[in-house]
Amino acid sequence: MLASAGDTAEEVLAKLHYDHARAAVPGEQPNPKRYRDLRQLYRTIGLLYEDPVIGRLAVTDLGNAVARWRPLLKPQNSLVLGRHAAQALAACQLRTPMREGRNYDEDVRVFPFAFIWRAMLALDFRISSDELNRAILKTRNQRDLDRAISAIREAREAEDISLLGDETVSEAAKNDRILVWMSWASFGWTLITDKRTSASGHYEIPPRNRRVLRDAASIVHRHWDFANEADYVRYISANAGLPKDLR
Amino acid sequence: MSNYGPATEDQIANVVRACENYGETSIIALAGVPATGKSFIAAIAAQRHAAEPTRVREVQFHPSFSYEEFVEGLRIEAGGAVSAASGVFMEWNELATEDGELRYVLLVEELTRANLSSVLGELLTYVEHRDRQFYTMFSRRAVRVAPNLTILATFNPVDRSAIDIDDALLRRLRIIDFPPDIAQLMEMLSANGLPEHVAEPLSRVFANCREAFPDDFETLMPFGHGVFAEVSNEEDLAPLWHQRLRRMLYRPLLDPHPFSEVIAAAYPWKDASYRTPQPEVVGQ
Repeated sequence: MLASAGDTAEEVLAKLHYDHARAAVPGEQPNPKRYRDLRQLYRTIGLLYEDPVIGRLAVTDLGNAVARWRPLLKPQNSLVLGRHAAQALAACQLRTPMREGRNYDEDVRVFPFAFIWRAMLALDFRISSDELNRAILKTRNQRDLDRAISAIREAREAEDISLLGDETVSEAAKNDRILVWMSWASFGWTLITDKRTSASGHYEIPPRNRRVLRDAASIVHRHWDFANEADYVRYISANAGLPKDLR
Repeated sequence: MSNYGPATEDQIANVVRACENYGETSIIALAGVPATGKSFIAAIAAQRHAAEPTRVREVQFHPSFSYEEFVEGLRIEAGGAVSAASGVFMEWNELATEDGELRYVLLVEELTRANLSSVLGELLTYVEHRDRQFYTMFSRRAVRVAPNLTILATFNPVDRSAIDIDDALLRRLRIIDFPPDIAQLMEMLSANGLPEHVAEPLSRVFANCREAFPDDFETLMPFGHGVFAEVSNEEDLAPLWHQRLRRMLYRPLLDPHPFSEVIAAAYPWKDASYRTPQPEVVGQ
């Protein structure tokens, strides 16, 4: 996707790997939903958008930086790009002009990734799926977040998760949905450790990433109403503070 | 890779070469009067040397910049506890150390504007001797300066602060001069679209000063070619004189700059109505 700047949806779809031998119906062509799902995945974190004027994919500066780093990325250097990514993610909003972000009330002022990091930084650098589901996902603004953090702290002391109330997402696939949000908040598991690989079963911020996330989470962003998806995604990428490529 | 024109590319290549040859033991410092393109060349050379823009970390020194911000300081945590926090240098050095295969650059703008002995602390020694380790002041971590970390800097050699650079630091610098450059000026003006019959007489501002003050031109010229970076047509030259150049030459309560008469004489665009005569076309 990140190498598809200037392509139409059809052109991108044709480029994506598709195993014809495993198609449900012989001769079946790739479903356009694959393109839409991937586009949603990448635009949520400011990597690309579909240009509304020409209907072609545009890759942001952050998307280009990710593409350049992909072959070089390893745990020892992930913070170089991670620092910029964290600054971009800190500006992401829940209420956006994108299809999945339009249904929130006007008084919702949630910066989802910054909120998750603030909670984790205040709660011994870790959080569980249950704590996210019963407390953090209910917040509508910073004041709610402060209350949620206090509530989680009390529930931990009492060792009683039910003190946090009902789940926000209760469907069967709730863990998958939370996992998707956390994969974004962790910038592809480079900033936060996946609960499936951590000893505590919680999502955790490793010591070396704490400063970067603390710095990014402490930025106070204004909540904006954007006219369209392109404006929003470009704004997110601009917050990465990437240097202009002068080479 | 971009091509900035032969004169500019020569300068970039010169800096990249210095980074490759001396970056493991010295601070590569670009020295020149204001607007000679030091920062521009340094940024490009840094990115080319590192082979990636995000592996260049930029910081600007100023009188309030301290050891605590550059190397290591103390920070008060939320609960009132005090902890050691890495400064910009330590953060970048740590990444370069862990990622030993790739090159990293720390680009320090206005190097001499900070109190250098105080800001650099023990780095003065260990930038040169990278095989020797030292212990940080607060966290008592053992640290070596990574061999793949290059420190590139810019400064104006006639700033009062630059005159105070001590011998110990001077010995750790590899200084590359950035004098005002007529070839780069012509390249820049041509790229901006300024007609050659205007650019050529404009370049005499520098040529005349060099002729009149051959010994002092490189260090005392009050500005470099970059001061004309925003000039794309002849109409831009009168406001540039009144809003910027004149202010640099004639400061209230101070004697005029020693080059001011020569510069003013070579700059007829002080008069907003002045237009350079068009060259005569042969055969007409």
